[in-house]
Amino acid sequence: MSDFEDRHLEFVTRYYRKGPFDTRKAFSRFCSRHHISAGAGRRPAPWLYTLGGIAAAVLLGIFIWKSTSDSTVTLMAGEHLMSYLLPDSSLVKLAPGSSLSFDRKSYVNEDRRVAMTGTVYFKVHEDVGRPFEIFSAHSFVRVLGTEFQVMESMDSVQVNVVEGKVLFSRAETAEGVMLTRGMQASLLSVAATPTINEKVDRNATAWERGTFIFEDTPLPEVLATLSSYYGVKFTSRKTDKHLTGEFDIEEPELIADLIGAALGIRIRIRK
Amino acid sequence: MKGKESESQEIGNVFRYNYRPLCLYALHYVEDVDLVEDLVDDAFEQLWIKVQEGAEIPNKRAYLYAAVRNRCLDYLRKNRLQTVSLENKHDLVDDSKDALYQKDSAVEAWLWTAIGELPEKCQEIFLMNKRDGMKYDEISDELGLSVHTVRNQIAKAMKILKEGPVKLYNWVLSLVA
Repeated sequence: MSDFEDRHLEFVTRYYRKGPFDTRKAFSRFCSRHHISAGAGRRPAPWLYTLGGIAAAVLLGIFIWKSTSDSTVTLMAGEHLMSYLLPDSSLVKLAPGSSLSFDRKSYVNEDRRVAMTGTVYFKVHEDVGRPFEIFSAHSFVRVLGTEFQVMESMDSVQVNVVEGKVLFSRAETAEGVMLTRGMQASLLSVAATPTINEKVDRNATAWERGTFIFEDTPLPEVLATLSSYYGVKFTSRKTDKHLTGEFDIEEPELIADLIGAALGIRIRIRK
Repeated sequence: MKGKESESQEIGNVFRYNYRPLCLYALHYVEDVDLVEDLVDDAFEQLWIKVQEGAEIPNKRAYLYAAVRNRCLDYLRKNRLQTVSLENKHDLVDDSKDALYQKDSAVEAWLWTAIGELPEKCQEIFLMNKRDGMKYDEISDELGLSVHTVRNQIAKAMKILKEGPVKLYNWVLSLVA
């Protein structure tokens, strides 16, 4: 592909500057205009997209109402996972199709409050005097400094804590649960308080970590995890196997082959 | 009937493969990078609306090129009086030229990407020379580098661009080794 001629080089360098013609950015613009999240190539799980326009609109309304100034910053992830550093060095990773917004002025000077949709992984910079608060359409999370994920879907919100302590509740004033390292809780839309999940699904944060982790996991469960991640159906005729291991997230066909090979079985994908 | 999901997935692929070439293509008509971005965005917009309306567009790439060209020509027509370098735009509907622009856009898009991926310093010096027309000694004065370094950096940039991405990878490896 590098057999260019002088006229090509002359033409391109005449206009070249850093920034323009960024395909990814152009596609995010396009997606946010049309409220679509096209995940071509590596396809993120459908749950990443489950938050509908209505909930997003409600959330945005709340946030704009809360911040009367025009310094609201909105971060979006279109097609790809996006990482952003917030003004206080807290790191956020947005799964495709997710968004996060905050008021820059008050975030820097007053409370660290953000609003989100979709699935967001947080690594909050510790600041004892200023808790970090996350508002989503139907949940509230408060932390001091920690790593965790908030995952919204149509009928529930799930919080996974990687490090530190997190308060998870329906609303700012409602009674909630305190979660620590390795814990996971879900808040169903019909429930008043979140429930702590006995069995933690480590693959809820697979997209952020870049790997699937299985520990003596029954094959049907493995297939269900993969199916929901890729949005295609993984099947196998042998289901009495158990899988242990960590697998890089790859194209679905490749991961089917890898896991199939590890177990000596054939895993098929039905689209 | 295609589902919503496969439609948006397809548009993602169409975007990935054609966005930057379309920008470079448009740049042959409209010499304004920012305007080009808008025109190309509009063309994708138009395509998406058609698809949503249920139109069958088998060759989306050809559709996009035509849509971008029309937008460029509209723009040029409207701004005819203000455009100084209009002489060479009279033949802007010249088909053979247009075919060449289309063909060139792929390699130019590749070059745009490759220049963007040059090592920072190397890129800066390369652009000062090729884009800004600065001579080696002028660059060396401005950056406080020796003329020798400037020459080397430009040669390095050309080498990376000529040899393409695979070779670049080897070149990085050779530095590490």
